[in-house]
Amino acid sequence: MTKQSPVTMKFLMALLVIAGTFAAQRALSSAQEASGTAGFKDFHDRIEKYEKLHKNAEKSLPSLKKKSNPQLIAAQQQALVDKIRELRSDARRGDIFTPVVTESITREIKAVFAGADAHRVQNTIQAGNPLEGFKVEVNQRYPDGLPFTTVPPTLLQKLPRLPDEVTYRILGSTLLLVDRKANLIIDYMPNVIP
Amino acid sequence: MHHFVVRLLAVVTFLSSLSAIPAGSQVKAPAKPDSVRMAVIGDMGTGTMPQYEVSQRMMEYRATFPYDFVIMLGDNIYGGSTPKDFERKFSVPYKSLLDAGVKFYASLGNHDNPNEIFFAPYNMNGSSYYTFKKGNVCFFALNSNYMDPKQLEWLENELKNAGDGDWKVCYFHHPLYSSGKTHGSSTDLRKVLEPLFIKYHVDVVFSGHDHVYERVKPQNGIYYFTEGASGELRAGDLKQTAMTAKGFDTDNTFMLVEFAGSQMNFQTIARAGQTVDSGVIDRQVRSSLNSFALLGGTLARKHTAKGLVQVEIHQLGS
Repeated sequence: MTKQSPVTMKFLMALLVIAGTFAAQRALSSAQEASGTAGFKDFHDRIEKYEKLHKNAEKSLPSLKKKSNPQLIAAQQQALVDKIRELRSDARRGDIFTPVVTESITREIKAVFAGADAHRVQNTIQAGNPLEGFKVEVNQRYPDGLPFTTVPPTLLQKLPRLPDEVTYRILGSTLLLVDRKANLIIDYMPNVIP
Repeated sequence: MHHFVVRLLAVVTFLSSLSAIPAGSQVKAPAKPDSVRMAVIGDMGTGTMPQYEVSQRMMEYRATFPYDFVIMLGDNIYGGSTPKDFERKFSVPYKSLLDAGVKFYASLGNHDNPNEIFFAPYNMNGSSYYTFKKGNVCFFALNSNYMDPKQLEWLENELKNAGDGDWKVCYFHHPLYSSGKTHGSSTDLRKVLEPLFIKYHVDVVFSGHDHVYERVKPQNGIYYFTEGASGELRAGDLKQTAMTAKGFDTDNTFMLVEFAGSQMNFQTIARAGQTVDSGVIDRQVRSSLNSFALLGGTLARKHTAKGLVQVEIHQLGS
């Protein structure tokens, strides 16, 4: 057996370390991707479940015409809020934004805020006057008259798509999930928006 | 009902005491037969006297420039959306216009209840983004609070289907280009919208949000207006920037716009009644320049060769 020189041995060792690092990184990235995919699948399933609940709630109420008056709009909104609260009386934070979902979405948000568009995204949120000091709870109405922070389009492109009944909203550093017609908070993730 | 009548009477009495349109300030647009005529208001829904006064001016000018509809650039109702809010901040201030058959087409601002899309006089028909056509002008009302991939896909499809023969006018709340100190340009929104506007030859964009008036120099061949002072006002909020063609931030304003063939006449009028900006945009010439620019790139935009194309903004008075 031929004896390897110290230089060659060191070179081979270095190659092994580098290869090992790449492999570990790929494994981590694959694991993250897998958990991300699993997280988003779980999110989609829960959102779909909520979508059905919303549609059932609406079906049970007189339909709001596309051209209505303010009295009917206000009454319909309140009736929808009451019905959804009834159907989700035991709803808690984390029912839709589960830990797995939270991890996946937080990763996406962090990537956006670390990426090339970060300053534009930050400016959009800042310009919309993020609001602190408002206690968020599931099944709580988003206060009437409180302005919205614009959800940056760059961020929306990275977040899982939602059906028409549900929308993301930002409130301070919290990401909300809001029933659009009821203007009702259905879940939230605190401290995720930098 | 009694309360509504009393309030209405008080407002009418007050507005009757306002002076008529100042001498020397007149409608600049030609009011050609079969033209498309509209007014533009933004950030108007305060329910305070300035909003009522702007509305009164709108009605006065309508006597000589009979426009058929108004586009609303968002923040239509501030501070709540009870039936009383709709009454005080929309139905009463614009009663004269509504009674005259003027139609309103709203877009949503960051202060608007999303369910305003169901309010009949806003003509949103249950959608926060929609399109409609008047004569040779295609309008695209967008929801800039929430520019998600679905809305972008819809917009691209609609812009593509509209072809290139007619005017394309987009309006939404958050300005892509603005010299307002409080908000300024919505650069993240610009990143996703501007490429579509350029690709599909959008001609004019109206926005609000900054409570000033500003006409921006054409950006990639597209004209941008901020009209966010039709009820709200942030006096002194305009910064000096190189992109401003004309700015005004010391009084409330509204705009009158006429599309006649390939020309768009615009006039911005202050609450006190004077004209603060006006001009003409010639679409046919702008299209030619863009086509030429496509062939020659940046060089073509910098050169307006005599005899080939001529692009001017005519300042008819201020």
